[in-house]
Amino acid sequence: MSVRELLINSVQFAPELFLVLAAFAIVLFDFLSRSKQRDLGIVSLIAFAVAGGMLWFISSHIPPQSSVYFSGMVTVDAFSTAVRFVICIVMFLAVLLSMGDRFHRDGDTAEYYALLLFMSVGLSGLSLSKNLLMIYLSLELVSLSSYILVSLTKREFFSSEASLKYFLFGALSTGIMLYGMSLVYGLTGSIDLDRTFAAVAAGGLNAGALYLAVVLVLAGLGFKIAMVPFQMWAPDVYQGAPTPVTALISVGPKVAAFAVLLRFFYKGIGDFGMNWYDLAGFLSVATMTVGNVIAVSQNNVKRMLAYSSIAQAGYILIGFAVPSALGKQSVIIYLLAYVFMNLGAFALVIPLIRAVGSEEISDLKGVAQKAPVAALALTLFLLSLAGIPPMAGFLGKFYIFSAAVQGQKLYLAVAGVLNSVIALYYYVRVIKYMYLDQPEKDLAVALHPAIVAAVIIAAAGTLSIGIYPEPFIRIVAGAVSIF
Amino acid sequence: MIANLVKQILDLKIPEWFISLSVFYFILAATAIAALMVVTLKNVFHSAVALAVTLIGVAAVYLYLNSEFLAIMQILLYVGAILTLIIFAVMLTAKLSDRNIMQANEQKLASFLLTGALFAILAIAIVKMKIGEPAAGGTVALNELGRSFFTDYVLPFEFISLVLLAALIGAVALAFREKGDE
Repeated sequence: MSVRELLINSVQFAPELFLVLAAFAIVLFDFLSRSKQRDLGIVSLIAFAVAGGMLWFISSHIPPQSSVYFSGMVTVDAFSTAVRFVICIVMFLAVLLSMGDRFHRDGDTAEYYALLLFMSVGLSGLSLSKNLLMIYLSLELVSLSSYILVSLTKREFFSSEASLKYFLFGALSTGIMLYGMSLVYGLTGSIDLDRTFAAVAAGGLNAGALYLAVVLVLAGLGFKIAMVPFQMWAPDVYQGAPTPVTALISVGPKVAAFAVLLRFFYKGIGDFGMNWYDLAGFLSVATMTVGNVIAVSQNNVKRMLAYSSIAQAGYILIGFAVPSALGKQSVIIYLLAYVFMNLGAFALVIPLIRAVGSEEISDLKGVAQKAPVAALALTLFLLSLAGIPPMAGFLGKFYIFSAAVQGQKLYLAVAGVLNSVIALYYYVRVIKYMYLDQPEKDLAVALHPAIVAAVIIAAAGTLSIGIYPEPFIRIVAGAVSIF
Repeated sequence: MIANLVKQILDLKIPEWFISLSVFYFILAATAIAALMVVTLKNVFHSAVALAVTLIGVAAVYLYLNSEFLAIMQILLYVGAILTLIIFAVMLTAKLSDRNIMQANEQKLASFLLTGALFAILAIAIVKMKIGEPAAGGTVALNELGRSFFTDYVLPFEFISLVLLAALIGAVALAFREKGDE
């Protein structure tokens, strides 16, 4: 590979290179700014907007010269482009949320935004990787950035506990995943997903060992999406982390981890005589049930949203467990809806818990009288999370359950519908406190312009996907056509 | 008398592979026992010393796998640099070096059962598994290794620097915060 080839290869990855440069610029030149929280936030916003624009331009004007780049390490296809675009949206909203919530020291601001940018590169890397080594490295970049982001806060005690817990569980799960990857390498003789696929297809491998390898990799990635039984870190971390970081790690790593799950399982292992669909289906039912049942009894709004996001991951796993084009489509559609509605809900939780001075759900009494717009917007996102039409969450659930029914996995659809009913209870409970109860004290909800922008974008996404889904469905169908 | 014994043993004409294999198993056993000591010893400082033995043992295993370069790097980086740092950290943290803090948790039985079950599953799988042939036997020349870092593996190679940079920035941010609190 010559230097010329390297440069040509790099063109497709201009958005990521740009994000890395922006991170360098933020760390090096943050001293130029007087009001770092605002200025560096705007720089990050521009960086993600430009990266998204570059991605749009490259994907529509510069056709990939080959399907693989850098000696088969990464691949540029419709799927990775779509996921990278979603990641740009997630990061853009996360920066808006960070600007609207003041939680870190001035000295840490540059590091905070730089780590956000590094994390986005890791997330992009996950969606692009076609090689176990690259998957591992990208996952490490995401993990390391998120461990540190969780601990950058003034609420020392909870944040330190959360960060340590996150780090220890994360390191363990990475180790488990690496062990699985080493077994895959030992069995197939390669870490390239095309070659592992070919080796599995050729047969003759020890089925038990291969199944074990697959389970170990699933466990490692399952940690990132808070899949049962690897969900126990999520509530503590979500509660202890600064709310914008909670919002980010409840969405960003999930999107990328599901992209890797789809690519690793459908393009790297295949289903030659190995029934991992039922395992995934069982785990999906366990995940959504545990998430929903525990969420019902939560009083802390961030913990409630943590268990809710565990349950949401359970629904998405249904689409993963159904081996059809519709299954994969439903995963991406649900993820897209989840990005907007979950980030939207967190965007409103930030000013509300600040205004009432507590994270208890029961302290949100009568918020609707004091802040009618914020309460209405939060209601919209919560109802979307519950799967009520015409919001995006309904479309996501509709696709997921259709995939389960079409794939002859009726029990998954039944479990999903039953769980949605349980979930409705705890989402509506928040709405009940906001609307039906009288406010106990006078409160003034201050909406930062960045929060307002984030809410508008998230609401637009939630409603447009729900009401006029055709363009999104077309893009998603194109993206999963690679499988 | 001892000299006599040694002479007798040397006269036995033990085949070379046997010596090689027994040394290999001795290294494996020492590594495993040291690793066990890392997690069971009560004093963190002792654990760190046991970790040194483990890391050197792993380096020796690399030697047996024809990866001389990896073995040297393992000793240089892990034993030479990282372990020294760990020992410094333990000695500089007064709380850790003064008292004998129990570092094991209180759920020994549960963790033993869980890890034992995992070990059994992995052991059975590995014993039954037919490992694919390595791509090329023998040692990898160093210049080949360097060349592949900058050709086939250039992307992971550069990506690692990003990972390290993120860790570095994070470490600075966390250390800075601790200092500001005091």
